[in-house]
Amino acid sequence: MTYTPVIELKNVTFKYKNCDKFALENVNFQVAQGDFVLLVGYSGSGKSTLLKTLNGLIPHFYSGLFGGDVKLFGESIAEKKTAQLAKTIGFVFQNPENQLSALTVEREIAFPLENFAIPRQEIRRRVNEIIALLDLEKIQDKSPFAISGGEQQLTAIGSALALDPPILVFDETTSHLSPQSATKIIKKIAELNREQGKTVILSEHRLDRNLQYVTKIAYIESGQLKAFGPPREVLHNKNYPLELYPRITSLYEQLKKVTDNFAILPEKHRKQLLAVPEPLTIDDFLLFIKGGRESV
Amino acid sequence: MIEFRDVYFRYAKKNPDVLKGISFKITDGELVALVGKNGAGKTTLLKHIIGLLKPTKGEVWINNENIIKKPISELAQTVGLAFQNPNHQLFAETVEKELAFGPKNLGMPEEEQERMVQKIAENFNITHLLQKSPLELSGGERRLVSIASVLTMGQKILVLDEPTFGQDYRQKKRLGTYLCDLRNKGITVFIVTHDIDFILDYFPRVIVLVDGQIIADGESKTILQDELLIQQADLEKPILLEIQEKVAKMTNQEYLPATSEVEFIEKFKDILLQAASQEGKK
Amino acid sequence: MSTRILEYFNYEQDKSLIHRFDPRTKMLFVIVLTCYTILFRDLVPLMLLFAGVTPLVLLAKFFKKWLRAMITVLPLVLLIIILNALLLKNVPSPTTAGLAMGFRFLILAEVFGIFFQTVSPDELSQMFIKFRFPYSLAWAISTAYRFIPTLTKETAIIVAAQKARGLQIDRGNIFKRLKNMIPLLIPIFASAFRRSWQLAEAIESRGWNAMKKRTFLYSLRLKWWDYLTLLLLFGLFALFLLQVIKQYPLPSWMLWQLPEKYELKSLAIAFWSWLKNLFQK
Repeated sequence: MTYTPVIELKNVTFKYKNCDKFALENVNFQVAQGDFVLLVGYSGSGKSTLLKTLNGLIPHFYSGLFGGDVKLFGESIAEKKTAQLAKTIGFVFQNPENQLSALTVEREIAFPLENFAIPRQEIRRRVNEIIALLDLEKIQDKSPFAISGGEQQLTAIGSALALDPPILVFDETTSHLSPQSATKIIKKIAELNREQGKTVILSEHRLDRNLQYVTKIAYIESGQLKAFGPPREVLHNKNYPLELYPRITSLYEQLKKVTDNFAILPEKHRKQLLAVPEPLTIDDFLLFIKGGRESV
Repeated sequence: MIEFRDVYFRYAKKNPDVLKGISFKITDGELVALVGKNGAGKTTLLKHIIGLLKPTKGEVWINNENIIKKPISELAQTVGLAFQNPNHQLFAETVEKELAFGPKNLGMPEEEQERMVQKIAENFNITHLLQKSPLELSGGERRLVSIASVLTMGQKILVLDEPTFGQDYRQKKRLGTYLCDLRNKGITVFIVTHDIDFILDYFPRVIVLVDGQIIADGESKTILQDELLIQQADLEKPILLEIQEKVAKMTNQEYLPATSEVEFIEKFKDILLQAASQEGKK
Repeated sequence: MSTRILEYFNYEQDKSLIHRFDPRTKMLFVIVLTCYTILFRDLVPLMLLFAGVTPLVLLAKFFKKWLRAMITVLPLVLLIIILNALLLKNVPSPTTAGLAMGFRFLILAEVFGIFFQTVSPDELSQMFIKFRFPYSLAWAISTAYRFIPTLTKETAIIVAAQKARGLQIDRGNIFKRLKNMIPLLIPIFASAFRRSWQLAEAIESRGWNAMKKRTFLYSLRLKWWDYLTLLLLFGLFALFLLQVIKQYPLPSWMLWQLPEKYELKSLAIAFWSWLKNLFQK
């Protein structure tokens, strides 16, 4: 059996009309089933553009120069319309206010199913399932314009999930939210990844609260994919900027520096510490400290 | 100087009070962050500082003057206010013109305008964007330009609503450093934010607004350690503090957090050394 | 004033008796009533119609709003009556005709008011779908309607933001003022454009019109009370058509006119001479 990646980008290039610089330049990568990919990059580096190529919004929605090929489950999407891809790929956008339009939360979730002419009973069943999954019971009859930003994003996620697509894309979905709701949403996404096996691609500014769920990081700079792979690998890539380190890792690096690679500690101890994987999350850091204390 | 004296506000007679007896005083050159849940009245409060809203009861004083009768156009000379969403204010053909719009309205001489635009653009590292249309920029860049377009007016008091929204680490750092510089020049900076790490790094004072009332006002180091306050304001514990709290719990030590990165590193260096020496004794 | 009138036509979420009727029933009601209102030119039948429709305002639970709107448009109604009474020629009693016109206006306001008060934009769009209008049109109507509050709020923020940057909207001559509008209009349009663009992307990504046919989680269904009312309305409509074709004369009591001495003109003349007398004394 040959391995087919869930998502495959081959030399994807895009230049917006009236823009002299390429927004994407020869981007290549493959995402496997069940991956949780975090797309990282400075503001304006092409994160959104990259995500929009995944369901054909680029090039279909934006005029410009497009090159390369995007394959989902081994099939090129070049000939497919964005609307038809809704069954394969669920997309959640950044601005909670500008992606909802239905009368109630429930009908927002039903919308994609209606588009695909699913029979009414089936819609009912699926909508109820999603409402239960995302705990939306309390707001299901409310207008999507009368709920909090976090609830709006959950509604958008619910709607994207309606057709049960195997891939979910989140374009800075939490950036308009308060930290507490953002963390809640990320947890939900991680749950979908872990429990339902959804392949997730997410772009984000906040790394610290996400890295514990992430299997791969993609770092993009001026439209070029500079690093891609498991988090620790990418952080050590020379292309990856120190500024985009997770706070915890950066604290660790600083600690390492002031202790001269832990040389101020006894040799046995030092080896022990260096053997502990570099911390990316708070839990990792605790492990590291523990390692420092209980080394025998 | 900004001073609120028992300010009450409601949008219409029938509606409930949005602000319920707000009193605080910010002296010149202070950096103050206002935190609170969405809908707690933060933006309503900000609008009072520049007279976009007038208190239904109580008084707002700016630089020792009650501003009840002052027109916004006059207040705009002293107070700069940037709203949350940059799309609500960007309109000019180029970033340069956008930055010059405020100063022009204030009647600043042209040379001075140009000087301000250049200075701010350099400080924010957006000189390369000056000839671009603000509508072409990315979200983070737009946010930066919208803040810069208020800063060029050179007022003594700056009010910013969620200035770090959608900005990456590099932009945040630049903004924070710049705001600190302003403080050193005696400019007062008052922001609304959810970005707790940004507060801890740059803002010594925090005011917590819950349901139209101030429930805490003081040193950010202290306030941000208060679990209940953080919960009530819909914030998250700063990473720096969360690590230390967990470590304290794990090692059964007293939780005495370091609140800056430098202190943090020193502290953990000591922890490691201690552990090593204890083992040495064994 | 204009906001009151807008408010008058604004849907109010409620569970009144009238709300429970299908929008199609209410649509036919509007059509039939409009026909009758135009059919009758005489005061008495129009007054009867008015008396007949007003209880529905109560049933739809928007009496207060209706009263407020009526008071707001009262000067306009009076103007209609007076102008007709003074200027109409070739009718036996211009004042009666003027009053009839006034009532006609009031009835139409009531009928359309009831419709828009009790039919949600969503029902409206579902009605269009039932009438086989394209789905995109129905969607656009209900969505545009839902975004009105958002856009109003946004406009207020934009005005505030630019004022804070020292923009003085009401300064200078007319050209200066128009120029001052630019910093407001551009963000308003840019925002609206960005919003619709993002919304388009979002619905496209969720399978907008992926199939030629679509299904609906909810759609309109006529209930027994709708059938009953529709029957009645169709009956009334048939009567209306019959009347249009055959032109049966109305019974004489329906043709009642104001006596000559109560004509507005004669009243005015009488008043004028009384005033004159008063001063001559």
